[in-house]
Amino acid sequence: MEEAQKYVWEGAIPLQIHLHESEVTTLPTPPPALILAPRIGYLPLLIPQIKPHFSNALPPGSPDTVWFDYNGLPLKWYIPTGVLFDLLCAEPERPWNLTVHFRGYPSNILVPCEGEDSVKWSFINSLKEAAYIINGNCKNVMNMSQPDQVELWRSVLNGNLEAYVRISSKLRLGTVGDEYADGGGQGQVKTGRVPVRLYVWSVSEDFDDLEDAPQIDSWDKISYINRPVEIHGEEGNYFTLQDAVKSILPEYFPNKSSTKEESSRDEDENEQTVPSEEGEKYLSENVDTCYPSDNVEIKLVRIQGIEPKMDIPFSWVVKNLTNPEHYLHICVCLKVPQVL
Amino acid sequence: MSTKEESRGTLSSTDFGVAASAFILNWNTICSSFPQWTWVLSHHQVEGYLSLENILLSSTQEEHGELSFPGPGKHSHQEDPIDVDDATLVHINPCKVHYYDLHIIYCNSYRVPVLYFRAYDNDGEPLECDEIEKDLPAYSKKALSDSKWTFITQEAMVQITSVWDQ
Repeated sequence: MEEAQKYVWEGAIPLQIHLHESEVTTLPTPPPALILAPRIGYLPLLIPQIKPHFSNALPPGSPDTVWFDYNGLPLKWYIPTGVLFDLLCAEPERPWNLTVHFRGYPSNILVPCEGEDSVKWSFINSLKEAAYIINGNCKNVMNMSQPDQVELWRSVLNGNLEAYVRISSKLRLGTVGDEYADGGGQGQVKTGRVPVRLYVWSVSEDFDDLEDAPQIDSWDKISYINRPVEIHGEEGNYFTLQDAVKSILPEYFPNKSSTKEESSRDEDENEQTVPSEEGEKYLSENVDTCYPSDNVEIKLVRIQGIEPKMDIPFSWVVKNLTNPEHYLHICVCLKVPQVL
Repeated sequence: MSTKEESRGTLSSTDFGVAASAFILNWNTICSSFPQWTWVLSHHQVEGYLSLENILLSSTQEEHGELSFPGPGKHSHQEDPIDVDDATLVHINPCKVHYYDLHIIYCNSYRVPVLYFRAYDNDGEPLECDEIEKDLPAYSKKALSDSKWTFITQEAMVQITSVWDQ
């Protein structure tokens, strides 16, 4: 089981980073910086390697916050590098050509970033949120000793899996996935929630080659869905990746009500709710706007750069492909019928 | 709402929707001269959130700003007919005017409503964190200093691409 986690931690994206032309003040233009970026890392953490490479070419005066763009799209720094690559490069580009800016921070699109500290806080907050989802409380994260916190962050920074496992095991963040790994014999399967971040982009036309997939030129085209997946005891053994993705996209794949749910419903019948088990309840003003599931097609699912078979047990995915903050990041491309 | 959820202080997504509807009804009835909260549906038409935009916060008083609105004023301005609508703005230093957009969204992870707000000045430029802190009511300021885990974070709001504070 550890093997897959090692691959995830060793995963990296080769980057070719160009200084934005408006900021080049020397001739010839500086060559691009070539960097191997860890998948589980974040772009601002690469700045100490990139800055020296371009410092000679920069105009005088103190620089703004550093930011990156891909084909003109400013990159959100709190999304792990691997996820950005999986999401924005339908056809993987190697090396991945990015542009770095030292000025003109687009604060209407990007949240401010004060370097490593911002990234660290974002990471710890996500870890806290994941802990809450898994355990129902985040005491373990909030009570981490200062040295532990430092070491945990450093292990992520340096890609040190051994150190990471040592500290993170103290947090007791085993999810439902572990039940199956240990061969829970008596069928006493836990009902639990799994932290998932879903990045969905929709296309209305089919494409055969990933090269022909439409470019993502704005964050408006991506739905970022931060919704835990609920695994229910009995069905846990057969819960596939496909089931998981569909369960957190009820707007595209409405849950079908089953007889066993009727008995637990004591809600006002006048409410226009679509029935579903436990957490996935929502108010639907106009049920007609939900897409019927046969018209919506999952075209692509990418996790840690791989496209797993949709019938893979979700528990395996959770156990092996999560990021260090215990979130599973899933990039999904949906084909939906055109809505007028 | 199940008792288990009540005791933990959480609520389900449906309960949030119900509570939000009730909130809108009550607010719009009781505070009818204030701008109204609206319920906005996400572009997938399934989840929604509460929205109140373009609130004016005047910080002419150093210690505490009072939430006021570009509409007919309440409280002390009520008696003076001249102070109806935009006339009240004449006395306010335009540099000190802060605008806020408020959104209340259901958070699936923590199962609670979360307040997102966006603060900006007269020119539409986002405010700095320390300027926002000055606008907060006293009890919020205290909560901020009490624990390292109480803080305002800047996050891109779910389904909306602009920058928000939480």
